[in-house]
Amino acid sequence: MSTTVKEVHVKAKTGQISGTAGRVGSRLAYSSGLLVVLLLLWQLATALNPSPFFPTPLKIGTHAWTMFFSTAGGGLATEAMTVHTFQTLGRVLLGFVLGSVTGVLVGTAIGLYRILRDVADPVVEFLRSIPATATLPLFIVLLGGEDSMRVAFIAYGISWFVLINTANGVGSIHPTQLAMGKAFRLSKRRQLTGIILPAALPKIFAGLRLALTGALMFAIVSEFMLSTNGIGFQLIQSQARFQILDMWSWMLLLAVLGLLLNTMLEITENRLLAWHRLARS
Amino acid sequence: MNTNAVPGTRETLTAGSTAVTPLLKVDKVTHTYGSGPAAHTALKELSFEVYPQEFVSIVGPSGAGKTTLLRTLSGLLTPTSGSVSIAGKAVIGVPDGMAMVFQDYSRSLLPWLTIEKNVAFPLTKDSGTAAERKALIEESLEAVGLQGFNNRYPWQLSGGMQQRVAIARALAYRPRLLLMDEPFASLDAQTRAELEDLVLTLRHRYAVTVLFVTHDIDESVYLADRVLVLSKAPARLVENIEVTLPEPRDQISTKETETFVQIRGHVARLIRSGGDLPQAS
Amino acid sequence: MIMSTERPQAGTRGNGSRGTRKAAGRSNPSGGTRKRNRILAGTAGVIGLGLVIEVVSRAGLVHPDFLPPFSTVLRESVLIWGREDFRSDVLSTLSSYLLGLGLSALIAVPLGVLFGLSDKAYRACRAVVELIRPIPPVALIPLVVLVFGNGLQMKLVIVIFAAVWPILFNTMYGVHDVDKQGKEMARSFGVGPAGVTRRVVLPGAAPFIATGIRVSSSIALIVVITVELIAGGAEGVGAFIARSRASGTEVELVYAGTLMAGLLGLVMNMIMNAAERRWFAWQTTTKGA
Repeated sequence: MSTTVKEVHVKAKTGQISGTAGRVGSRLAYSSGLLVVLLLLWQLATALNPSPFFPTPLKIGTHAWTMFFSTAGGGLATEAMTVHTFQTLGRVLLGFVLGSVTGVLVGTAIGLYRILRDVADPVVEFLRSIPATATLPLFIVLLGGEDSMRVAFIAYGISWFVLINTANGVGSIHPTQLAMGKAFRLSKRRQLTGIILPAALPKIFAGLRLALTGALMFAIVSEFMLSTNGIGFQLIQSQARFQILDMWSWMLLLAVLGLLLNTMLEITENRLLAWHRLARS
Repeated sequence: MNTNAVPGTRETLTAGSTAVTPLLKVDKVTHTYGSGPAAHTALKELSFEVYPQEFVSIVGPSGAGKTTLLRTLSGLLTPTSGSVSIAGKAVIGVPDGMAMVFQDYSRSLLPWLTIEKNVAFPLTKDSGTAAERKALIEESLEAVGLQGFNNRYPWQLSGGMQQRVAIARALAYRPRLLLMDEPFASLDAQTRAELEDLVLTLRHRYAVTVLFVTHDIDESVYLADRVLVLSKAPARLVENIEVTLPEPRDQISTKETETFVQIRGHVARLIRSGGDLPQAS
Repeated sequence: MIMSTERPQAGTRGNGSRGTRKAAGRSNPSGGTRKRNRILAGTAGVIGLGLVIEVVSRAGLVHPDFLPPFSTVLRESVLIWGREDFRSDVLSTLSSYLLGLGLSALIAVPLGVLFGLSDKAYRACRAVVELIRPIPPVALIPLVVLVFGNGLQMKLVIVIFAAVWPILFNTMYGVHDVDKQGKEMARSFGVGPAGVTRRVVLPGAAPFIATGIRVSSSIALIVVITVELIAGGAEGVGAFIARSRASGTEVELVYAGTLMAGLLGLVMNMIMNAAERRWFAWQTTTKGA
């Protein structure tokens, strides 16, 4: 049995982990370098063609800095920033979690049982064709102008991405993988948590990535209507008051928030799905 | 079933050993897929028995319903009629004490688990305490020549080694009956020979009963105590051939013996004729 | 920038259920009955859901002012087409959507080809897309409304900002991914760089471009409707729904309008999928093998 040893491609385990972090790191470095170049171009363009609507990025940056971070009494950030950011963030995360859990549960059920899939198919196909934001007035009619409405709207809007991807992932698990679980008499629960969900995880994450971007977008849209706080509300407010620099500052904050959320999810995905990436390479 | 013309039939032995209960008894199993004009009968009144510690291989032309048979035996599929029993108990659902090695090792091993965790996967508290299970895993990995590979991932190993992991997983499960579904069909000749010998060694070491499905005639004869030849679909049992080759078997010398050549030729003729054998003298 | 993370893969449908059906259908050889059963089950699902809404509303579990009976909504969905304001709203939505999507393709495809041909540009552009992707395009609405007012121009700017990326990215990916052997083969027959691009690269990238356009199509529609919903005084289906809600007395119209927005989305999806299947079916089969 000594012959077996030579068959292995040895990959040090530590190498895989640092490789994951290194990949994200080098890409971040590259992106930020590029960002600097783009900012310079933007600065140049706006400085040469002054317009009240398009201030230079330098102006936006300094304005945003004073608006968000120059606190009189100490502390990291101004109340104006933290209050609205956390309102938006709270809605995004709550809606994201609720919608994702629903999507995974329903998607798994649909992926596993053909009869469910057949019954649900036209309804799902139609509901997910409704541009999600078109349902916002309905959510207002049904749930009023409160935060519960916003969270429900976000959860509804994103659940389709997760649902479709989960159903697809669960439904396309290789029959041998399922047969293996049954042949070894695993309990239904272990078949689900040990085989079905991990096998569908790459597809589920594809859905989650769409869902997170969607959650931020739906949160902002929901804050455009009948809201009294949040980044979306601030955008509308500064528009109404013609405070262009304020508006740009909030847009900047939103961009940073979106990037942060996305990066966090990506890191989680890289951790959880290292096997998937490596197994394919 | 008739057992004519082949040297060393066990007519006398099986008839005389009615006192021994068969471990596996397949009684007039018929399975038809679908209904109406599109119906396809895969198995037709198939009956045979496997006795404790026997190594029986099943060989038949491709498309002969070998997979259907295995799915029926492993309880993954309920036959249209007839019955399967293990140690006298009718098989309803997946039977206890049965382990399976699939052809498609890359699917039957879970890519997100290490080798050790793959082997541990079907083990539950019924298999012993954590320490006992750990010992079971180590022993099984050692038995297939993979000690020290605990923390590797399946996709880091060659095909042959992956199939060794699948065999270790089946062994750690301590089955009474080991079903092997064309386990070496996707491997190269060299690796296949190594694994055939490994299975023979393990069979004696663990005193396990093996039912080995293959379409490779050489393999079926080389490994088994008894070869069951199936006809093309709808599969019937064509012949039950006793393999009286001396132990231990050897890839070169065994295959040179007259008995081996004779049995192999006989099986090949049976398969070529699709089961309607012109009476051999 | 929703849905633009879909990994560029030519021929893969956004429609997830299609692939699962294929896998499930294997154990049952009689496809005809299978199809009939599926239609029956699907119809049962639709009727079942309609009945539940009907009962919940009629029984007063949810006040009919909030949730009108399903039959009322259905009737209203037909009657709504008799209203001139609704018809012009649909026309407005459709034209902004089609114009926006068309202009996006017109901008993104040539740029994508250009960037895709160079390794460096490809890498840089990918990084930019990664940077911009998480920013919700709807955040631009307040600013763009200030600059362009609430007419067609405003809608188009936002739609293009949102819809350009998936097409650009997919085109780039497709061009970048074109088989080197094909290029070398053409070059060995003395075809010049322009010829290689036109005769080898573009056809090779076409299925990816189609996928990008399909993804952008749903983004464009969602953005158009969002803009109409948010920007006061705008025209379109989104504005129609928002107006009906604001009036407070026409809940059925809110439901009917939403349902029709769904119909619009469904029809667009179907057209996109059908077109992609018809013209690029070969790609799916070759990739699937």
